[in-house]
Amino acid sequence: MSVSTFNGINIAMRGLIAQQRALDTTTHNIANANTEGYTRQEAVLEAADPISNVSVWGMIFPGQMGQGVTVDSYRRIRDVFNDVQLRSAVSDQSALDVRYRELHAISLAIPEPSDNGLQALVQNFFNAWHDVSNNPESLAARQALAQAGQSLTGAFNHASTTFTQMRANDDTEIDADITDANSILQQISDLNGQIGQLVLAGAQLDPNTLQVVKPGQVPNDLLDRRDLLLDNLGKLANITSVTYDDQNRATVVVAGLTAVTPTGGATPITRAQIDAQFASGALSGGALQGLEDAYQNFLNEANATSYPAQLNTLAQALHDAVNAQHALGADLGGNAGGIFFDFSSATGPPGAAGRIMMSAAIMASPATIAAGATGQGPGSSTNANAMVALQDAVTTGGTTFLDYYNGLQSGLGTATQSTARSQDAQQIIVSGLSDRRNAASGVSLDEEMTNMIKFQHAYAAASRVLSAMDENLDRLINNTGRVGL
Amino acid sequence: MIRSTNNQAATHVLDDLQRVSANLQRTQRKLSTGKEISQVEDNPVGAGRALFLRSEVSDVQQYQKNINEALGFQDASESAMSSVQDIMKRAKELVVQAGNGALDQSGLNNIAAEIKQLVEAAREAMNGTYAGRYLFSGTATLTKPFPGPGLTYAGDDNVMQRVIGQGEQVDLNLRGWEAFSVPPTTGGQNVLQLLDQIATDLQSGNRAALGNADLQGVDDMLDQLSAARAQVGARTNRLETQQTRLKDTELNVEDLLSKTEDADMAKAMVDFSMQQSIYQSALQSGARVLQPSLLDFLR
Repeated sequence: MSVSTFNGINIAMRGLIAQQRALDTTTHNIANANTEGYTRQEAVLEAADPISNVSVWGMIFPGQMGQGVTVDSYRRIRDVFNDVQLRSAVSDQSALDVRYRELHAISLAIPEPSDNGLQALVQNFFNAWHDVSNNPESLAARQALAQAGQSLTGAFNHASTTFTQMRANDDTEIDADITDANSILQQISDLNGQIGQLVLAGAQLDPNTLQVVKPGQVPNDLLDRRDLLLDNLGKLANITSVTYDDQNRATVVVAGLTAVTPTGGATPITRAQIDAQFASGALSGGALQGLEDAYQNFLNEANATSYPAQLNTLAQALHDAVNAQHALGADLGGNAGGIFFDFSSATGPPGAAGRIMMSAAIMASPATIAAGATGQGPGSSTNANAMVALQDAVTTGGTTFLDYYNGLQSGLGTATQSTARSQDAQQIIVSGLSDRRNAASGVSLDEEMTNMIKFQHAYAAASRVLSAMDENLDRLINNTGRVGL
Repeated sequence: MIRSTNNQAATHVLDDLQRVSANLQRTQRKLSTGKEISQVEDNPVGAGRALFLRSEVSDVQQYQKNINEALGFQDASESAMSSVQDIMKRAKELVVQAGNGALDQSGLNNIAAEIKQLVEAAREAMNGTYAGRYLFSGTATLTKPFPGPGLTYAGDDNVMQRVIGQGEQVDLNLRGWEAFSVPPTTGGQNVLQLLDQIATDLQSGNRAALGNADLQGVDDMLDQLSAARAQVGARTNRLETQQTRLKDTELNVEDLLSKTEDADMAKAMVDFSMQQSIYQSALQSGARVLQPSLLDFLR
């Protein structure tokens, strides 16, 4: 048995087809050059199974005869290890982004340095007491003091309200992010199903374990979509692990919660679970971690180190110290001083900063401000003088008002500043990793153009071979045995 | 070999442009506000210091305001006491004139009439006010210390104080008897009582009393007024010294505050032009990097 005369046509045809497929892959890459999450693909060309060249005499000649080319598979070029690193870095980055956003918003609620900040308002309040001390008989000076007190309590109230609103927004945002995450998990689960089926279709199975040894099809674009979903999930919460079974179906553990399994599908995560995972430290990254941190810690009045709680301490101390001193004095009418600051309700929430207000009696009649000493005349400013000394007295958590407030501001400023720095550092890590991903998986138009030319030339050459083959056959069929005609 | 892809170039150009433009904005803000620190996170340590310094500037300014008020009060007291002293000097002349024996009873009566006038003039000065408040009533600043027609003190015995520095207070007023009585106690004889006594002695022709007790009384009163004026003078001195000190402090603290908080404009301007040219070159090179690909050179 000899090799067919037409064998060459077959080989040329295979070449044409393979180059065509490779060119198609190039087109696919170019078309998806800007698709988010797209991984460049390449057609893996492989020499086709050769045939043994058997002679008419039954002798086997050494070597086999090549039969051209086939496309073995279409491969996506992806560094899976880099993906894991990148996702974890992006999780940290989104947590930092949220943290910075929150801290920055807090510092905008109590702005310093500012002519209208709490420091200036406390200062104005005590300066107004000085003015009353200079003119204790003057109702105008007392009126000005009452107004300064009201500005101060107003600033406390405003900051407190802002904090409460921010916390409520964070609450809503946590719920929204959980909804997003659950939608992503459902989509991953759906893709798991499709990917599993495609891998199984025509797959080579191990006869004993029935495990897939060689996948039937490699659904590159579906894998890309699943990877993109995992990337997006990582922005919301840290991905603890992703493992794949023999059918390339993913098991996703997010923030320590097993959320997607190949057989069980997606298990929606709940707010209670996220709260618990944050408390245990298993939720360690992603926007949800940043939001939980703000919600549970630094915007939570119940937490003594939170910024609203510190503001409450300040408001409470101011209330207590001023009222205690005020009660020691006598007003213009010679009556003992009543309360100076009041609380809008007996207990919180909100805390002292949200409830502090001027006493209604003083707002109604500034003459009831107890600037003088008991038993003295209207010119007495003994109590006002004692009041201004409060400014430098130890009243608030073992320190003065200003020291305490300064501590609050420095703490907040330092936290914001260091978060901004971490954010910058994290940005460098993320862009390094994402460079690496791009370098491996991104589409380079120069490369695709080069490939295009390569495949085009190979295609042209294969066509030329076909033409030569055609000429040979023409000679053989139409011109053989026509000698002398 | 590391592959370089088109998206990578685009991402880098964008990232870099954003960073450079953020720097540019930060410097621009320094230039437009003139402040190095516009929020605490710019420099937490510096901002904390600035908070203290601002508070100190405000305190120092308030103390100066208090001192100005107190100085006004001292000036008014001083001028009232100076008037009373002039009145007492005139009274002394009259008492000496009456005591030399050259005048008959009608002459004494004429002098007595003038002394009565002096009582009212002294009363007016002793009821002197500053910004509508009686100077010598203690804390009863809305009550006349020496209301007519009586001769006794009607104010209270309290001292007013003013805060002129952290934990530093100064007495503001002299009580009526402190300024105008011999001895300077609540039980002392005041200017009005002394003058009234003299008028009575003149009318009754009690030359012995006029020559001795009354003349002595006038002399003692003049000494007392001098002593009281010296007291006010000493307070004024203390206030002025404190004021000078506070002015110096204010300048120093404001200078420190400015060094902490204000931007170095020259440096900011240089930074700004440098960052601006970096931004422009980033834009230019970005535009050139992004544009061409092999595509441009294929037929």
